Amino acid sequence: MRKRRPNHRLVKIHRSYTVEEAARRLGTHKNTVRAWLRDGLPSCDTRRPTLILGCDLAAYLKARRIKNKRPCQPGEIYCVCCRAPKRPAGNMAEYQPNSASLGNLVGICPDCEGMIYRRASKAKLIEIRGNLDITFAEAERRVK
Amino acid sequence: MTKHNPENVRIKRRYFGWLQEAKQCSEATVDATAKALSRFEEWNPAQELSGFPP
Repeated sequence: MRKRRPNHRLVKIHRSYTVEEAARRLGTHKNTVRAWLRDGLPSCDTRRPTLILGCDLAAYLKARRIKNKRPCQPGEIYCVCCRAPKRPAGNMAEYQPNSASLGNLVGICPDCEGMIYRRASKAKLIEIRGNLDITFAEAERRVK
Repeated sequence: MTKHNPENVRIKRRYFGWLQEAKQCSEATVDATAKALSRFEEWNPAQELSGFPP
């Protein structure tokens, strides 16, 4: 099966590749590489065979890979429904511990009003919280 | 945008092919040569490799 996200670490940055070589190296189709060239991947010059510099190819694939990432800032929780990091409604979130050191921040999405969750370790809670008001849920006592 | 000399890129490519096929150098040797050449080009960007014997 072809990979949707080719591994940019397979490309050697000091070498140059033809379209076919790049496709073989990354396990994609050569038309995919030609599509990248149309999309903005720089080629070495206008002569044939088209040569792609390894450093350019690696940088292009790396940039594509991080383009769709939406890292949450402090005080934000990713809403799966809206596909974006959101500040929970009323700036309020609840910390539900799973263990002594790890738990979930639970809030309500201001737009779709669904529940939003963010994994949070207790040690990093100060960095993650931003200016959220966090309430701590008491862990249920276990019957021994 | 990387600065490069297109003519040098093609010459280097031919040279790596020669190392691999005629001299039967291993992939690692060719990689090391490629790295050394790109360091040289970084140090002396104006140098054209066409004058060098392969």
